Amino acid sequence: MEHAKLYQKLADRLSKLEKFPRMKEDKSIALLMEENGINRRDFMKWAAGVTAMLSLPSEFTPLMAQAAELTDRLPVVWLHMAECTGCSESLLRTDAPTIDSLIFDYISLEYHETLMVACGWQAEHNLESAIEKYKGKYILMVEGGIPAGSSEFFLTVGPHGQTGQASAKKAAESAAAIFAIGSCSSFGGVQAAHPNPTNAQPLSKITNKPVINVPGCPPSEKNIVGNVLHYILFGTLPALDAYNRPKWAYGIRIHDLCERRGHFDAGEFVQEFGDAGAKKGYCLYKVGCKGPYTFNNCSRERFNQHTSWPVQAGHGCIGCSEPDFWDNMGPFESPLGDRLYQTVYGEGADKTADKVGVALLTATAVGIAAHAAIAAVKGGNKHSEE
Amino acid sequence: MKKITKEIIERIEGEATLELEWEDEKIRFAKIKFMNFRGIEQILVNRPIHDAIAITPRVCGICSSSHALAATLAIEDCFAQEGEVLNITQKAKDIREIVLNAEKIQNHIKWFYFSILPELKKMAEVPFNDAFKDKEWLEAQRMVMESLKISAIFSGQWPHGSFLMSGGVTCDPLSSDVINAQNCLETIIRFCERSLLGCPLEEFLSYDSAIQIMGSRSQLSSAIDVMMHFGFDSCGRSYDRFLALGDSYMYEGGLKSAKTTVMSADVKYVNESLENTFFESPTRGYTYSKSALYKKNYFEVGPLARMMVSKDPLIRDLHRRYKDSTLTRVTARLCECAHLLKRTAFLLEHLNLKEASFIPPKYNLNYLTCKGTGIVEASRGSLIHEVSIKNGHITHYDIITPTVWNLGNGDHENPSIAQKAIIGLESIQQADFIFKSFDVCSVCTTQ
Repeated sequence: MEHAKLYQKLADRLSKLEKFPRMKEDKSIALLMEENGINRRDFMKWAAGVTAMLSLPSEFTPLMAQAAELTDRLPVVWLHMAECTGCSESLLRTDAPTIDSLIFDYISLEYHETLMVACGWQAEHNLESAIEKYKGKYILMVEGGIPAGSSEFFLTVGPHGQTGQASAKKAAESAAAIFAIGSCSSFGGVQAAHPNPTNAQPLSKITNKPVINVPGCPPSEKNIVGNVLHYILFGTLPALDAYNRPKWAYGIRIHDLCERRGHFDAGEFVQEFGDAGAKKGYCLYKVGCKGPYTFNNCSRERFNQHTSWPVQAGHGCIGCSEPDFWDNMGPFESPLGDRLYQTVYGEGADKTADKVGVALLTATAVGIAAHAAIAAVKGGNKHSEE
Repeated sequence: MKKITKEIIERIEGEATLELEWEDEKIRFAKIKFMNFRGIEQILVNRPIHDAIAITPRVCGICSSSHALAATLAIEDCFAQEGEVLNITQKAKDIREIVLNAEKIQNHIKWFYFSILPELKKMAEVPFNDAFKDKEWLEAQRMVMESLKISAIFSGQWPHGSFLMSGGVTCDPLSSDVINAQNCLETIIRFCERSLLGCPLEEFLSYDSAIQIMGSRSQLSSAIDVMMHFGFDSCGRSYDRFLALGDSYMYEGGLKSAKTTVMSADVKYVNESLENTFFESPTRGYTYSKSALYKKNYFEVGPLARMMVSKDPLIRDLHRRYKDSTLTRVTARLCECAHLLKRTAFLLEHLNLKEASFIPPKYNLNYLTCKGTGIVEASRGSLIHEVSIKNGHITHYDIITPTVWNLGNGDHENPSIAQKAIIGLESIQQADFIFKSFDVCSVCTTQ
């Protein structure tokens, strides 16, 4: 096999992980799948899909399956900050129970405010004890921006009235790996948009530890589960781009694999919503699609169990996995190249369309160069190996 | 003896704190605290008005389509105020309603199976390890997914789909898309008949007596049994005043009802109170949640209100027996879910794909300076968006969410809907359950 060395390394890691005690004694994941009518063949098909998604050779499929079965060796703590709970909605409940979310259910979710049975004081105790019990071993996932406002009243959680900032900081200290789920936690999100009334900050500004950003508003469930599986397989952080996004998910533009790309190349555009081009499924660039500036795998993975995605519904991409997209991607129904009127971001009528467009494209190019540079650095990074 | 206790309410959207004031072992007053302020209304100012269709859904990840629709209706109202009444085709209207209904259906199922049922199981001490690993829960979860697929087929994704524009919808579904949506809906209907309702949908919708529900074996009837056992048929009552301002196929125009008398209502009598909030006083305030009032009175909004103003025979019968108690409130939400399933099936069957999805407005929005209002009946009740624009840019945006109607903060003399329902109770467990029966969402409440 071409990648025998890597294969052996991952296999060794998994067999080591297998010796860890299970978090939940009651059921193995194989049994859980069987109960839900998912047979081994479906499971292997799914594993092959995830292997491909993570850009690993197909021979790694059995390892992926094994990794999925070991998800119960990994405690996860999920914290809510200032947000809309849309990420939880997208990731934890709405896509279930595909194999992805069965696994997500099965992952030992030690603490999740919206999903756990425990409430109030008991719940708070769960969080503290989970942090203590699994010190240095758990995966921390944080949803929402973190208000670092001057007022201590901005977002307090739990009976002790701890601020969101304090509890995120504390949970991050003893985490094995930290994921910022969604654009809010990755980049500040909607509450951090101009004028950022609550001084909302991304998770990476709150902790000194490395944070892997999984942006999107909301991000697709596959990107979350993929990250967890990647961590189980490798025990290290994935290769990241300039904005700390895993390259396997955010390595290409929406535009690159868009189903309407052919129309873009042929110069066939929707000029106005509801026109003949819209009926024919032409390219949405001229009605504001930000696909060419946005790095994500939506055009490949779609949403809600591969049902659809915004471009398929006839509306352009709004660029939701890019930093500060609320301020620099709007107005969402005009192409960036045509930004003629005053926006909150400050680009006035005097700044011609081309200048703004070129500026952004240049930024993208810099981004790509940075991708390459960061990847080279991250390549040898063995951070947080267990 | 007086004392004060603090209860944290979780497993809702976000987090809330109930600060209970006790006297002689009874709850004398309850402060409802929501602490997660984000300032969305401020963020909207100065942006081009169409950005509101993308930004306001981010107020709440569980009713994102309702917010997007309210924003769209507010913009369409701006056009109307300036003299151009937009021509929204029946197809566009139907697609909007299908997406909205799908969102409500999943919300009601999710609320019942994830919020209400675990509590009732805890109360009844039914042995269970973890309600969220139950087969039942997984099945309900699958139905939630099916419902959201119906939405995603038209809106691109859920939550936070993008398909709405002033003038119609951007999607152009094919008949195969409609068939897929029908298939998803059929799965949900079968699940509800089998598990939730315990009888065929048509039969359930023909019920006009509480006895009929209790007679069949279903999740609903066993939930009612537990609620009766713990006295929820008499507690959790509020003012018995209801309000539904948004349009619905079940009734016409905005309506209010005091007990069973239904009268017309108008959004112009709605006002927002800053009482007890940090906005009014950073030192004396204790929450970020505003309160909404109609002619200075608290009104209950949501499924129970919609069922009451549309004079649904089954809920009217429950109301006759148990007034606006927790039992009636819980049943009303599930009853609405049944109505929505039937209505959505009808809409999908009659969707005319030959019509246009979108008809561009004639006026250029960038020259408009006016005010507009959009009202949507969302899962939890009337959602109001009010916008003022100058040259197509937002100068003021006001969002009144359903939860500020039900979960506002009044004072001892004039408590809000949920406060009134909690005052006088003797146990925290009861208070917690009654609070949950309003389908609490903290992210909406405070934005």
